[in-house]
Amino acid sequence: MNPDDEPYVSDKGLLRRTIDGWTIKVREINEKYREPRLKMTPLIRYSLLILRLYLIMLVIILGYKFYTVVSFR
Amino acid sequence: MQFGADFFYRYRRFVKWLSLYLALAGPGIIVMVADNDAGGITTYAATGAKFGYSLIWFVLLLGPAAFAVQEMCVRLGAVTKRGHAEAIFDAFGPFWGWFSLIDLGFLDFLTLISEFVGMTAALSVFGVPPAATVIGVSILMIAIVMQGRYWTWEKIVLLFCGLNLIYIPATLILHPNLSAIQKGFIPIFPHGITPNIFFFMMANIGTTIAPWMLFFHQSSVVDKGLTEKDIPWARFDTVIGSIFVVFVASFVMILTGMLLYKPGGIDIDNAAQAAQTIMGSHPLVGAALAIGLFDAGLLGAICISLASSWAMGEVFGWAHSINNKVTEAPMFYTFYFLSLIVAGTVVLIPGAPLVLITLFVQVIAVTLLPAALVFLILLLNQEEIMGKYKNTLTQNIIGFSIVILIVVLSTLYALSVIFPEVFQR
Repeated sequence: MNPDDEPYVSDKGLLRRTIDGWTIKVREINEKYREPRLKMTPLIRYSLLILRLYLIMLVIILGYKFYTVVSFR
Repeated sequence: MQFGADFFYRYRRFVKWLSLYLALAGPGIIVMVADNDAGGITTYAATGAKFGYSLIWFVLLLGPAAFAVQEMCVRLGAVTKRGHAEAIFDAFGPFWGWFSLIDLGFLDFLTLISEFVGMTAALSVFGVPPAATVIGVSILMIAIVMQGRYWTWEKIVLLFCGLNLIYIPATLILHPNLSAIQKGFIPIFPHGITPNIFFFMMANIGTTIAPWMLFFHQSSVVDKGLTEKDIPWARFDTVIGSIFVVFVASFVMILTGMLLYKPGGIDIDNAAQAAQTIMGSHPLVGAALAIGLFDAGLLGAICISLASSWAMGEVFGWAHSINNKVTEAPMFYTFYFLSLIVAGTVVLIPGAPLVLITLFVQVIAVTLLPAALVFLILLLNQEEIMGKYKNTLTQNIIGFSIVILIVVLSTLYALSVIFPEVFQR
């Protein structure tokens, strides 16, 4: 094994370990909060639905703006 | 004799009340004063330069609106002992949790850049190079959190809040015409509701209620260790803060209205430009405006970087209190330091799109603000979470009305930033 390769291998290992660590942490968080604590009453359900629609509308508007900027160029 | 005893009793009671308040004061004042950040001061200065005193009444109305929102954060934090990010994960599940956390992190980072832009512009008025400002501010901000006590951090930040009052003497030494200012308290539009005035009204709303405030206030209530019995004091603290915010905003508008406004109004791009212009005729006042802008940016940067770090700590389960030493909460402080250093570095990159970033902040804010407000009001209506501190019918009517108004106007403001040609100014 070429000794010059050692630091590179070590760095790659560190990066992979970090990514793996974060992935495991994110999975743990998802598992911890899997069941929302709030009961989904009609008010909450409709509020979240409206919020989703609002955000989708914003994404479409931003996408349109991006498209017009790119087309103009 | 009886009068003397009565007076002494009342005096002792007042001192006791004041001592208790001073011990509990902090989060409400800090979040509200930091709300007058670099972007906020620029908006108020631009409004004063464009419309003189005629929108002072509108800014005064924003104080109660900001209080209504922040008061809910106080109750939620004091009752649940959880920050807003963690509360969203817990109540609404991972989808909305990640959405809020990632959006908050991104938005706070961009806002932090805009605070550094404000601070470097403010000190450039005195000939300080941007690199020196960024390095100095970063060292100062790192030093005030590293001492390891929430109490000390809070009192230092309150001193910076006091510096925000610099606009008041700066205005008063100019002997403003009180009868002209009085007209600004009357809610009328001298030239009708033009698209231009509507744009400025939306901008003022956008700067008065920002998403990071909800996260910061709730987390600071938790970090300070306030409980249910402290709610009346924390509420009073928020009232004082909301008075403070509109007071300072009004004085900035009066100042620029007095010195820069001409019939038809003038456009200014940032408060540093206003300070530079004013310095030509009134050096002391111009210097005060620049110092105030720097202080506003610093307060904003302190609170915004902490809002993100607290939120990350809550969700990822890191130790995340300012009471912790760096060795006890390494991830929390690493995140805090990194966000500062990276945001400061971006400002120093030659040709970085700083104007675009400042505009982008307003657009990204409307993706988070409605969600955070809706989550807040839904959480405040859960009896199993809030118990007897849940919203009353009156609080709900006020809360929902304010939330709907803020969401509609801030969305329109963002659209006017995205499509300026549609909202011809």
